[in-house]
Amino acid sequence: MPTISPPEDRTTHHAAGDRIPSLPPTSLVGRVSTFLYHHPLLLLLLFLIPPLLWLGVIYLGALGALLMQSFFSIDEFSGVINREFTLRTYVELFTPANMDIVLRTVLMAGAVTLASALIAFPIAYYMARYARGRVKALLYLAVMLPLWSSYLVRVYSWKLILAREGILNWAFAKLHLLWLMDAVLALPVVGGTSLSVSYLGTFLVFMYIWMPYMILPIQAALERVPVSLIEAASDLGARPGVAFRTVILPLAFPGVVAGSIFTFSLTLGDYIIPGIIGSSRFFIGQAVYSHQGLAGNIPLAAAFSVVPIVIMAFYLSAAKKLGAFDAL
Amino acid sequence: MDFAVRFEDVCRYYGKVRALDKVSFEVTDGEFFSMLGPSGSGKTTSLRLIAGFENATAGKIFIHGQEARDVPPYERNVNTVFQDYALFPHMTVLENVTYGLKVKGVDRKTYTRRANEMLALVKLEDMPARRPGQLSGGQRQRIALARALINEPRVLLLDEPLGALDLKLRKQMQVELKALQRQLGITFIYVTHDQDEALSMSDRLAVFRDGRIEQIDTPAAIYETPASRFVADFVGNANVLGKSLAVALTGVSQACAIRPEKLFFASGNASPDEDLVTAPGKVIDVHYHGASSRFTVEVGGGHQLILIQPNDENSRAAALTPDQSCVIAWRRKDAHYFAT
Amino acid sequence: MRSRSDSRSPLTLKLMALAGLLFLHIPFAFILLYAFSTEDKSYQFPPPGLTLRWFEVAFHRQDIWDAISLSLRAASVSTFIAILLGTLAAAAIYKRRFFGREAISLLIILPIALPGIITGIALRSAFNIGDIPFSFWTIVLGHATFCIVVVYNNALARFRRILPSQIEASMDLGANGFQTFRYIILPNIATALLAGGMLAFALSFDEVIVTTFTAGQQSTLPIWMLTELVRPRQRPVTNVVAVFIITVTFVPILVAYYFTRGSEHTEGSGK
Repeated sequence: MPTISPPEDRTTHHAAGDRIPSLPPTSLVGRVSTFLYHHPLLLLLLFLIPPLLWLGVIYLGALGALLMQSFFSIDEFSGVINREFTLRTYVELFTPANMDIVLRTVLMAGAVTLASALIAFPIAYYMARYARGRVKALLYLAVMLPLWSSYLVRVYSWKLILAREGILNWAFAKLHLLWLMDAVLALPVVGGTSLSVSYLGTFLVFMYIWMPYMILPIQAALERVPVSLIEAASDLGARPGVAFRTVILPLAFPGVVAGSIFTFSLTLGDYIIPGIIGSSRFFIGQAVYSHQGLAGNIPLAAAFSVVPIVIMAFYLSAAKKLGAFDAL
Repeated sequence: MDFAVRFEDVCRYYGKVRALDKVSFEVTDGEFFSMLGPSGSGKTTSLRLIAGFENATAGKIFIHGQEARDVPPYERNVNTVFQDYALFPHMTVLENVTYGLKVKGVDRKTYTRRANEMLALVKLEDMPARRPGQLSGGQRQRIALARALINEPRVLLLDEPLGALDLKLRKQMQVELKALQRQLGITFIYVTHDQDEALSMSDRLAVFRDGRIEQIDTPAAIYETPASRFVADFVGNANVLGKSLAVALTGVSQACAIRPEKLFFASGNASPDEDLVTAPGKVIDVHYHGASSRFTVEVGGGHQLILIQPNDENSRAAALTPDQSCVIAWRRKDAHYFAT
Repeated sequence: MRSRSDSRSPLTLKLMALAGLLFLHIPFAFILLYAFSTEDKSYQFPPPGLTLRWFEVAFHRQDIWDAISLSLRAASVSTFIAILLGTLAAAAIYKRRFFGREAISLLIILPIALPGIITGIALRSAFNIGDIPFSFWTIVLGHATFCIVVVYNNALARFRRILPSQIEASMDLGANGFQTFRYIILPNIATALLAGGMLAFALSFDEVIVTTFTAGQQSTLPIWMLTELVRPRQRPVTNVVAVFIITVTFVPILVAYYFTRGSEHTEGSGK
């Protein structure tokens, strides 16, 4: 290869034909590359087809199968699924007993969402506003790790804690607060013989498990509020409390809604937590699980699972209007 | 004659936006050619068309006589120095510089030797193991240059390469780039919005405006004989006299432009000179610029003219302050008339 | 948003934040504690004694090892598929606008946006209608589907951070599309893919809701644990397994965080 040389020598190196601007592609790889370069749409399709095929066939296909199943019915005597279109299963869904299940689940989901929002906000606020550098990273990890680590282990740990002979009772006893515990357990509906078999217990565990899902979007939303806005508010005469209520809270609200999407949706569909910690009365998830299990009543299970889908569809469109999607 | 680059009625549209509208020009082999203009005027688009990152909507582009329509960038013997340098952050300086040769299959021994030659050329021999993140802006700029030049392109494209450097470094690099181009003898096509830079470095320059070329010529010709009011205004300062003012002051009913340094202060008592145009006025403003001063003078009818005078304590200009009356003058031949 | 004027936060806020975070983490401590308890019939606190023998017992139980093996295998294969499909999807979506782009993004996110039970019962319905028997592959089918989005998000974020001028510079210097991918794009996205893969692995390893619907009679480790929770045999052994699961999932998460944290800016480009 000739080196870069003074102008006089260049004429000999750059004779006609030497180093033409358009070099013909010599290798197969080069030719394929140029072909794809000239056909960007083809390249796009090549990228998209494998994931779309997988998701389309497997996931959408499964959802379609689910919907289809909800229009089938089961023969009560033989246990065989009747694959003919009928609305019988949906009629069965709308009986009072089953609607009870739906109501119970929705109320629990609402309560959990509200409570976690209230508890998550101070944590998120601290993380967004006051934590810096290493502390911030540590806090972020502290919230992230439970999120990704074992769901079952975390549920299980609460079974330990809430058990009659477990630490919570022991602590209450030591603090001479057993009367408080009994009073709480005596509450109608939400109480029970012990925390681990009461709605209160279920509520506590749901809140604990979904907490990181609520903290992170709120923190992200709070971080997007520029400091200058708060300074402007106080410059214009607003005291900290007022500035918080009128400036910070409205701007952080989309983050709260975003977090609520997770807590609501996850509570709506969960069947494990109520099964491990709670009364024996069913939630939607448990209904689905039990119907598709030994009973083999997949149509009814499918019909039950359509309920959360419909509820979430409404919830999501409301959330979108409240700006939650920009906060995700 | 072998033109390095030739544009023939090239258009580049993005939907309704006309980035380039029937642009034609030629760049001679071995010249330093600049493309000057405000943002969005089409100069960077032209550069990208030559490099091959985009294709023209209409028209033809020839690089060394061959039409470049369907040739991807990696098959053109043209290299680019990017505005943000685009050094690969995950590679060392040496790996960056040798990249072009490596992907073309050159053997390690050769490309290492060539890289060291290039680094010596840009005076950064002791940097091969560093990473771009550890270099200063000026150093990164030189590495980008070395990385492009190692491929021995016949045309080097430079997209506002000095924009991010501070003034002193920029002036120094202008000198070095010009010297480098002369030494290497390859064609440089240089995009800038800084008219000072374009004037000082180019053999020829093209002034772009709204997707068209207003004028292509040598720097001196563009400065002394601007083809239009826009060019007169954009390249250097200009006092533009509209038709009515021109008639009032010079007697010629045509718009013209006079460079501020061609105007000077005359004594009101001098006998009228056929070659000179004089006009009485009042000093509005004086700005001190070190080597020179800039005067704003109001002549008849509320029109303001700009004069630039070297700071000489003995000159008539030195004594002038705002609100004083004065007489300004210029030689008739220094007024440049254009059709538009 | 940073509080500039008051760098010391109000004490109540600090306490509330601390209390909240403790609430999140103390349960783990209890799991650890109970793994050493000598009492195996109940969850008595304080534990009557501490011992190491449950670790040994767990070590010798074959059903635990089988469950671990299945979980590891399923997670590995699912992660591999998720990395492949997630990266392809991210590469397609990140730059050009095209018809259906938003719909496709939604489709990728859907498996994780809808409650797990929906995905589970949907897959179960599909297997039922298609007369497909439960197997290793039915588990992988479910896991890979919701793991795609995890890799997709990471890859997408990283793709968006690659400056277009990098790719143009590579092509300008003579590298064709494949070479540019190999030398420029791949090194830039590698750590994001690894991070996504780690998160996908942890997700798959831990997953129980969808898996109970797609596993049939097989037991992944979480399914084993669920069975134990409902019908406990040796409680501290369950705790030992829980401790094991915590360790196995903590590590990839930490590694993933480390990989995605550092690359906030691309050095060497620009001013």
